[in-house]
Amino acid sequence: MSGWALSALIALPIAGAVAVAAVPRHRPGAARAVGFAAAGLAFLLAAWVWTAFRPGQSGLQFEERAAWVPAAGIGYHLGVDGLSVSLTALVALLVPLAIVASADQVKERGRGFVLTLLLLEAGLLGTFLAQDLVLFYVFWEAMLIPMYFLIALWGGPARRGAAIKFLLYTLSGSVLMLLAIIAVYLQGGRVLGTPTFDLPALLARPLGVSPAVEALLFGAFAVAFAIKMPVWPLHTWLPDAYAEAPPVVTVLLAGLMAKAGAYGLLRFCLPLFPDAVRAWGPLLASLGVAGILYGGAVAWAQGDLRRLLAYGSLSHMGFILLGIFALDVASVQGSVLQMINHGVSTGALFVLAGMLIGRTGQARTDAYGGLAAATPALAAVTLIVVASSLALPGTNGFVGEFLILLGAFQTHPVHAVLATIGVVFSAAYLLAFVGRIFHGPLRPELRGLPDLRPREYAVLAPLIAIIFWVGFVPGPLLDRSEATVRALLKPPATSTPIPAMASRPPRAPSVRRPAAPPNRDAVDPGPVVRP
Amino acid sequence: MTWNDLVAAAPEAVLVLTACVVLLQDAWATGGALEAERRGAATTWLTLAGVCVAAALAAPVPPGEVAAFGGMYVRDGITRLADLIALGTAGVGVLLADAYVRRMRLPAGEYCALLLLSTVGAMLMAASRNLIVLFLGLEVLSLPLYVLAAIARRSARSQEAGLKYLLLGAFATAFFVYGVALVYGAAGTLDLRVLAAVPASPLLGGGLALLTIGLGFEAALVPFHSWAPDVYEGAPLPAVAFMSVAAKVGAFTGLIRVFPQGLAHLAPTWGPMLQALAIATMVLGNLAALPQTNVKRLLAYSSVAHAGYLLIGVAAGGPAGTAAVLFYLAVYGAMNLGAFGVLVLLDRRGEEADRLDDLAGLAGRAPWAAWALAVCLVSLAGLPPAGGFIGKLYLFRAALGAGQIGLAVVGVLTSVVSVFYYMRVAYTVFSGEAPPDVTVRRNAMAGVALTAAAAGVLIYGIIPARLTAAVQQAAALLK
Repeated sequence: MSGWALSALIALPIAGAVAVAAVPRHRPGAARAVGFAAAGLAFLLAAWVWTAFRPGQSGLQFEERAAWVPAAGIGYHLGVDGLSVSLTALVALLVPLAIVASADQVKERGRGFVLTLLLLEAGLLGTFLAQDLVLFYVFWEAMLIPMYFLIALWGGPARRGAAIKFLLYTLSGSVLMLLAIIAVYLQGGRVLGTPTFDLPALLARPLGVSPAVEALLFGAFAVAFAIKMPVWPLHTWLPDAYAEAPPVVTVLLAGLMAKAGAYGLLRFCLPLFPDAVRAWGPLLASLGVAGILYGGAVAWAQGDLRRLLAYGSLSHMGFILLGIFALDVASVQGSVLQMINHGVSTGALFVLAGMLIGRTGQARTDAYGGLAAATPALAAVTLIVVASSLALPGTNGFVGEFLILLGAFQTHPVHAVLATIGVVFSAAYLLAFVGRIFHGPLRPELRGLPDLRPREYAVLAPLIAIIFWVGFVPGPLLDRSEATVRALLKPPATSTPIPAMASRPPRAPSVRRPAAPPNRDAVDPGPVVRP
Repeated sequence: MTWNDLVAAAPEAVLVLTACVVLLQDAWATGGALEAERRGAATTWLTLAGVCVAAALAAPVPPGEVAAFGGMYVRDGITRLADLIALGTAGVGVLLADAYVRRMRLPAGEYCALLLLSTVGAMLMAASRNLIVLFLGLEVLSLPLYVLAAIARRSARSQEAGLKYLLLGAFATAFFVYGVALVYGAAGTLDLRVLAAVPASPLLGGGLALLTIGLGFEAALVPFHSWAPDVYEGAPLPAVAFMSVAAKVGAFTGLIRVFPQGLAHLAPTWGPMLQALAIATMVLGNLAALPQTNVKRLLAYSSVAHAGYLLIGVAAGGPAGTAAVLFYLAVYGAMNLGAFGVLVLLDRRGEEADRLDDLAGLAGRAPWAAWALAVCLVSLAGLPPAGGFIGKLYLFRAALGAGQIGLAVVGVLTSVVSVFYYMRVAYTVFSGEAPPDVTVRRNAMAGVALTAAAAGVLIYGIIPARLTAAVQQAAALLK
């Protein structure tokens, strides 16, 4: 296993940012080119890591270790496993696309924008790769500052308030997590003999704290991650931030940053606090369902394009939360997959929203109508992305949501039923979204609006490709996460046998299997749970 | 006094000698004129040379604990680190002041000499194992600071600041001396090593409380902080940059010498007192900084708040708390000097540009200064990847390790509050149009100083291993 790839992956965007800073200020095009080159290289590297990643192993791969602050037990420890390998690739994919999209959408200070975007990418990649609690926290918070500036400097009219609200909201959650991290470290020192912030080392033995303390520590971690996702009712920063950020940045907020929260729950909460997870999991699953229904209902009522999508995103994140805390292999697998899907589909939706707003300057849905006549390609692409977001069979969203619901039915049937109702909501607001904007008579002032330009095709094409690829061949993604997810749920809460899993012939993880994964068999009777 | 005593105190001795030479040199060079028309940079270079020699003398790691002057003065790991921080502050302070002093026609000789003497005071406080030496250090530290605050003779604001500082400072010093007297009455000794075995008594408790008032004034702890915003606002900027760090280095090493090191056995007595002070300081300092529109006042309240964070480490005590305080002092020095240092570059029609609006659009015309300021602000807010984060990590680790959960929770929550006002400054720097009447006065010396400060902040945040090893080694002496 190579010991440089992940460090290089984090270093490339930082080097790119430095290179962008060296470009003269009045040449934003050159700055974008340099930034795209750096982000593109990072993507190639991430794609190579993704391909070279060996499925079937639950442990870390591409591991790198170095002493960082040995006096305090802080190490520089990077690695990918099934939870993070695809997310890393997603980050590396979306950022260069965002840089390309910013060419049309960011008019002022293009150089600073690209530079800040690259710093954000480094923070995001580090968050998904770090295996040391302090290192993770450093990246986790370091990405807040670029994001604050991206919203505050390039956002809409109410950007300052939205940016500071986002920053303070997320920070107040994560500082309590910092205290919990230190507490875990001190307690780990008592259990292990040597205090360390290294996650695998801390997981070697149970923490051995009382249930009350464990619940408290779990709560501190979970609140930090829940704010980032966000989970209802900690979502109130979301509509402002999503609506005020420049559309390209909203893509990253919804597509990537939200995933960091869900990823944190999987990476830290589940293994570190297994008992508290079992005790409080049902509550969190309920919050997930509440988010699905609340987000869906509120999205339906929104007149603002991006607020509609923002609440829709909240609703979809509810599925991911439900899947995680259903604590079933199928549901967690579904959540891991859905994290990628949500990143692609919601990311694409916000890219499209940005294209619409960039064309008309209007953010309200009632300013549009009948646009399909003027911009047929844009309308077609939107319909595909909406189908994916709706989880129609054949698209990526279907596989993810189906697995989540399948798993949740085993452990939390009531939650699953309610969540299925949420699918109806998403149909309602998403189809309303498409209907209000693209259907009906074409508004006269929208006549002559340009259709998709080559650069916009280039941004959308990879996303559409992934939507169908994952929809038809989810195997590569699911294979990569399966071993890790199984290991994660090892002393599992799933004491009841899982019919869907039990009916399937067991297989050796080391054998390379043909493209069609077993999960696809389970996926086929899908329409049963469709409304 | 023996030869060995002088060798132990050589860094201080070098600084005092340099101060005398600098005064004479400046007097000869300018012919005694108070507001010389032209002034060379010789004063600055001489001062820097003295600081460098002193730093070279202070840099070697002392073998354990070297006592001098009958055990009243010690040179150990804590002294060494405090000396290096104080000397670094002095060096950066002189570099920042050079162009400003000439521009504002301040007496350069006096300025540099006072700055050096004040540094000696901070170093003495760090080296004291006896309350008399601590008092001596406190006076040597603060008297030059009173004068430095008032050194702009033609500025009414500066005069007012100096007077306020002097009056309140004298009042606080009186408390300190009275506290020393009470401690002597209770214990019959002022030697901190002997005090380490003295049983608790009401008289001793009273004495310690009064000592804390004296040191708390110098550190700007709430409720002894009321001088800070006015003095910071009125005093000349380079002097503020220096005093905001030097006074804290002296006060907090003094607090470490007295409480965690000297009176560790009485921790149940002074622990709650310091915790309450820390909480009040963090909460009030940060809340008061929120509405400020004058950057000097904002940074003044911010430095009050940081006194609260530093006090977390003192209240936690033990090697962990002491190491955290030492680390944070180093980071605080770098980030505060950097933040004030950027302001020194600005000039609004011959005056200091200290309004928040004056900073608008700075990134457009002085990108390096803007980035340096941003790095320092991120660090002050305690966010990674800057040194302020690692510093706070150490402080909170010490607090949780000592079981002071409430203190840590207040600490992290007030840090979130602080993010609001630091980011407001950072936002202003990167947005808007530069006001036409504000000019950026670039100069090489200030550039070097700012680069050093910003680099320090980043190094402490990204590769802190050497400093953390050093502070932990120094604090291990406490046991």
